[in-house]
Amino acid sequence: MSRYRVIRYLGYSIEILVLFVLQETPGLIPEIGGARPVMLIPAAVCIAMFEHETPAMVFGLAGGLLADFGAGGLLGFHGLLLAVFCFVISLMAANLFQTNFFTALLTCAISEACITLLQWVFFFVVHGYAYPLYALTAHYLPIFCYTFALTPVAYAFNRGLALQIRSKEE
Amino acid sequence: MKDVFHSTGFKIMVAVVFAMLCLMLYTAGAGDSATGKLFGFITIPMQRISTIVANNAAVSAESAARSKEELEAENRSLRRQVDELNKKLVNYYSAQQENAQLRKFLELKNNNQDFKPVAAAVIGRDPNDLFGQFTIDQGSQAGISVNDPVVTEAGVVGWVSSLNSSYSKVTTILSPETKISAMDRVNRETGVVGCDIRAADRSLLHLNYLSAGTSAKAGDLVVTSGIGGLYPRNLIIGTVKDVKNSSYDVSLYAEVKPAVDVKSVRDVLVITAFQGQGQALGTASSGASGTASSAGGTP
Repeated sequence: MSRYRVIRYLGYSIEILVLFVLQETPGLIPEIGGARPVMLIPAAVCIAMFEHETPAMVFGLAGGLLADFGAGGLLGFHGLLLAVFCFVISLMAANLFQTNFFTALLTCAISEACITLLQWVFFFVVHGYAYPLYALTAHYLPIFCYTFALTPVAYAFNRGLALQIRSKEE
Repeated sequence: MKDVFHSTGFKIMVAVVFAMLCLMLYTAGAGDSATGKLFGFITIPMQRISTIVANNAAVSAESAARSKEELEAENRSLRRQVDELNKKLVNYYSAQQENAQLRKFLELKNNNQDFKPVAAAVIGRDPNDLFGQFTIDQGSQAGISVNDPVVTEAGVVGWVSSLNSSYSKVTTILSPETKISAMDRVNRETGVVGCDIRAADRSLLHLNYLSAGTSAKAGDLVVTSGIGGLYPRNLIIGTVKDVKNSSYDVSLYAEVKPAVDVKSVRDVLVITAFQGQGQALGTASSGASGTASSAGGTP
């Protein structure tokens, strides 16, 4: 493994850890409509767009397991979802579409929507809590929107990180 | 693209999916794992530092953002308050003396003497949680166990739902999983305090199962009844805001404004031992159909 690749992977690891701490620290990220963003999702998806499928899956897995750890519930739920999503996204980015700002927005929107919907199903509906539709529209939708709004930042940062270091690698 | 299913990457992905499914099944059953401990070992120190930095920044920003006039007005208001409080303090000391005499006379005992509290700071709040669940910086090493009540000096906050050696997760009173056997302090009518997502959004609790002829009214203090053995008696939960008809049966419920804003609380006390702790749980577990939540228990 080349030195630059190690630096790139180290950069992604630090990014994921820092984002986890930022999203979990009380009062640090301002709430909008009672929602706070899950910044690990767009970060993992954007990393996947610039990496091969196996490293993409590993960073998805790490981000997902951290999200599970923060939530304090079922360990492995986000880990599984983000690992699979990142693997598929990396494969599609390499073979099916070009990686640019619009495909990043589309990919993040679809994956964030799927993860949010599955969170609602497994952590609210399955628990049998009252008013599931209200929870979806009043809570999960704002979390999705806020998370999605941070996608351009995650894309710009990871694109910069991946391309800067890769150009030196080549 | 055709060879994806034969690639090493795909095989690794299948192995990861299988491992994650096993981990989910294991944590669903055991509630804790080596992976959780590992993540805790890495992230908890970082969360502690970031929380301290964020709290200090918030305090600095608050004072820096205010003008000189605002600070002078606040100073005047605080001086007035100090004068008023000094006057009240004289009455307080005489009332305290009288109270001590009455307690001695009636051989009443201070209920709080049996508490064994552990002070903890909130170091994490997950954006995915809708009911204000948070992480505190003390765990089993400090003597905390699952189901221990979490309070502040103002009232009940929640209970410890999971823990590790150095941190604990607290489920708040706004969670639908929390059921507390409670009592209207004024008329001693009992009920069960619970919550749902709509009430949680309005920062309100429901004191359920009040009888049709209830005399509970706005302003009444709601406290824990101690039944169930998970919370000590007479911890303040909140004050009654309104009494309404239940949509499911003929009973009534009271809307209760919690004494503590659990979504912004920063420092808490975990009561690790108190008189009568776990008594009903022991009874329930020895019975065939006993559950922790049946007799006013929480989880």
